[in-house]
Amino acid sequence: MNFAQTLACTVLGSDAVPVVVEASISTGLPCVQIIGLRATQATEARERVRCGLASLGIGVGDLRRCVVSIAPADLPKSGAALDLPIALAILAALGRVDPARIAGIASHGELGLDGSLRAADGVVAAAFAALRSGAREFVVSSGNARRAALAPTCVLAAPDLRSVVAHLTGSTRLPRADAASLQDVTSFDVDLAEVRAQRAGVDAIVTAAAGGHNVLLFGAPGCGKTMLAQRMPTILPPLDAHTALEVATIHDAAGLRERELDAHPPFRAPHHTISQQALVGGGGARPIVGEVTLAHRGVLFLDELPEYRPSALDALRQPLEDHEVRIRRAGWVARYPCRTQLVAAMNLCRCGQWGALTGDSCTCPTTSRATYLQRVSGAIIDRFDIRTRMTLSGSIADSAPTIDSATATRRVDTARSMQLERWGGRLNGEVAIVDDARLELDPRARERAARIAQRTDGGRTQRAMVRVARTIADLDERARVSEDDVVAAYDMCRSTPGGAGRD
Amino acid sequence: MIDARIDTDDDRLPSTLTQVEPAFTGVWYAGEPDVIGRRPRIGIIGSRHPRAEAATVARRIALDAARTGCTIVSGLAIGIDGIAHRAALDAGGVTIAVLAGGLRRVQPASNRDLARTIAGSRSRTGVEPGTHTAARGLVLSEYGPDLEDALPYRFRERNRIIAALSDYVVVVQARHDSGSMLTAEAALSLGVPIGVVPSAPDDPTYAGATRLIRDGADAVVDGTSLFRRLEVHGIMHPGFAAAAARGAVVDPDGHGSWIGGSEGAQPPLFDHPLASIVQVPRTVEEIAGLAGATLRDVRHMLLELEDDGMVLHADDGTWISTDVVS
Repeated sequence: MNFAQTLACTVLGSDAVPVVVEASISTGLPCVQIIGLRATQATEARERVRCGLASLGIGVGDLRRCVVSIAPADLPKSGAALDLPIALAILAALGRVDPARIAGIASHGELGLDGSLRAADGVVAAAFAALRSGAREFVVSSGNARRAALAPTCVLAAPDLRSVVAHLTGSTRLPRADAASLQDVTSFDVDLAEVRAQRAGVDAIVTAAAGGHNVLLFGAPGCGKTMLAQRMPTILPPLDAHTALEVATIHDAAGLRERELDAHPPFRAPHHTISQQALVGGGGARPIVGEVTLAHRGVLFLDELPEYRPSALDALRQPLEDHEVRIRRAGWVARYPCRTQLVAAMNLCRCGQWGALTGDSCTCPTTSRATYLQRVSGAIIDRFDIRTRMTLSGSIADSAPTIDSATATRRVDTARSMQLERWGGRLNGEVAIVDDARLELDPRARERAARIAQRTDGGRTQRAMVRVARTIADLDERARVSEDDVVAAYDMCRSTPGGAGRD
Repeated sequence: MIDARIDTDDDRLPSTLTQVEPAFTGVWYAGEPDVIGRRPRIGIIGSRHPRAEAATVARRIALDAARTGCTIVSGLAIGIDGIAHRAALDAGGVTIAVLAGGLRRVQPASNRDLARTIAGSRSRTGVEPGTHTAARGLVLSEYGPDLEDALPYRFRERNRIIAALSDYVVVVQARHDSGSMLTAEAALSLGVPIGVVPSAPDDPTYAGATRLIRDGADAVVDGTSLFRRLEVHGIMHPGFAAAAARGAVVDPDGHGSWIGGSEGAQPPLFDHPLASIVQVPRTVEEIAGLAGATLRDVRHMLLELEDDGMVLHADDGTWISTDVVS
């Protein structure tokens, strides 16, 4: 019986699924055929595997008629990581290794033409998929091993195909890999203390960081919107091992490879020419994750918001609300996590000068300004709990820093832990509440909120107001929300860039 | 009655008054004559029927100037004149109104109350000549207090006094053949520099103003641009514009010519201190900076003022006084 099978994993969006690789060798003219992969992938994998096997001295003649099947056949599969399991299945079918030995192990790695093993995408997700499939061992390239070992399974690191065969035949043993370690957050090049004369802006960004609120900064160029947004990562608490692993799994599957486990919350700042699929996720033959998912547990920064495609922005609406992207295509359905905080900045017109309070030098025709602002729909604007108009006021040289990043991070961290306890693992900006006893508004705050609610039409403003007010109180480590908190929160959430203004 | 009159050659009056044509011997006054010494004196003149934008700009310039300590000089006419006087009072500054008729017969009648506020006194149809402690400025006329009719030519003659009293004249919206242009010409002949609020060049309601710009007058759009011009013309010392922008109240000459006084001496002019700051749209950040208050306090005060209908929150995140937009 010239048949063998082994386990493998294939990346599907932000995750990986186990697959079975089977090889069957029968008499006939020498030929290797791979089925279950798309045509070009199959051709390329076949050539890599054939050369890899040649490095072990196995020629075309030995293979005779060899058919490799990757099951389930209709699952869209990706990547060169299937090279190693294909090669192992063929070797077992040839009798070079014991078919029973490889049936219960999974492997992941791309073959070089000399038989060396290369790191492949999605190894973290694959390691977890291997664990789920019940594999006893998970063999990966040395370059991938530390990341793969983040999964609680037996991960073996192999430099090349020969060493894998040696391990399987029992002549030498492959070393078991240590898990990548959580890298502490190192110091940043920038600091919040560098932002001067922007107390309202700093307030907004610190509050947003503390409560996980989406924040929109708008105003004329040069007032520090981008500068402020770029300092957001410096005030976010580092990821713990669990969330860092969650992030690493996604990033790895998307091809963003790192050796160790990064505790920095992701900060993704895609350029405004980005397509809807690249922003939100999508894909044709197989799913790909978008920037909003790559920013999971971190920040998605969209600078010059109206310059993005309106369709791309609107596609963000549901993910921002549900913290999950759901995509259905002909052959597959994908769900990606996106507990992502959106930070955006925008000018108030195309030339940018509108609203520069000292000297109105906007040269845009009125219609052009309206068109510019309309590119961001009201529905997207509504997703920002905090919307802050920024102006450059006062002398930057004269003014003192508002707060430095280290201090802000400590406050944010404390505020977040209060929220995580209150809402069971969620932040104020992530809960859908308008009135809840857990908000703990004191009577005057409640009365003020009710008065404000009477004159605002949208429930969203109210919801944003109480959530932000709660965060402001959390930043001060106060159990109860005061009237001042409600007032400050209302001021933070009531403006819009498309406001009637003062033409 | 003689203490309600100042001769033209009196030291309290600028020497330019002796140079005007036709010459005159003195002025009757009602209010506080010392305000003449408060410099710089900024003449603000323009149309009786200004457009809304012109009115807004005139008010902004007068507010900024008066708040910084400038004395606003104008003619108490309806339109730009009245706006300039009122803005000066609203900013807690002082103002000089030059009438074309008798002090007890203030024309136009609609500005009588304004004249009474400036002079700090009232008579049946005008103001009572003399020094009054309640004065917020000075009302002047070269004519006897009981002169009945304000004849058209007198308005034009009045304009030469406005020019002569001013260190700098701002023309806001002036037709080609307007009284404001007469004031401007008088100013030119006296060597008083002129600033003009610019507009679209072909607009006939600004034709006079546009001609002045073509002839080399300054363009003035707000307090800051005005202050810079004052520095350029040597009326104020260098650094004045920067100090004014910071909200500092300065004494530029150091020999008593009044520009405000010490810090904190700014009079409480509005019912609420923030109301003066939001005469132009400003963000919370700016308001807090100008008021020297915390964001928290400012936010609270603004919301209270909004509830009282004194300020409006524009959707774009700025605040503005309801005085300005209503």
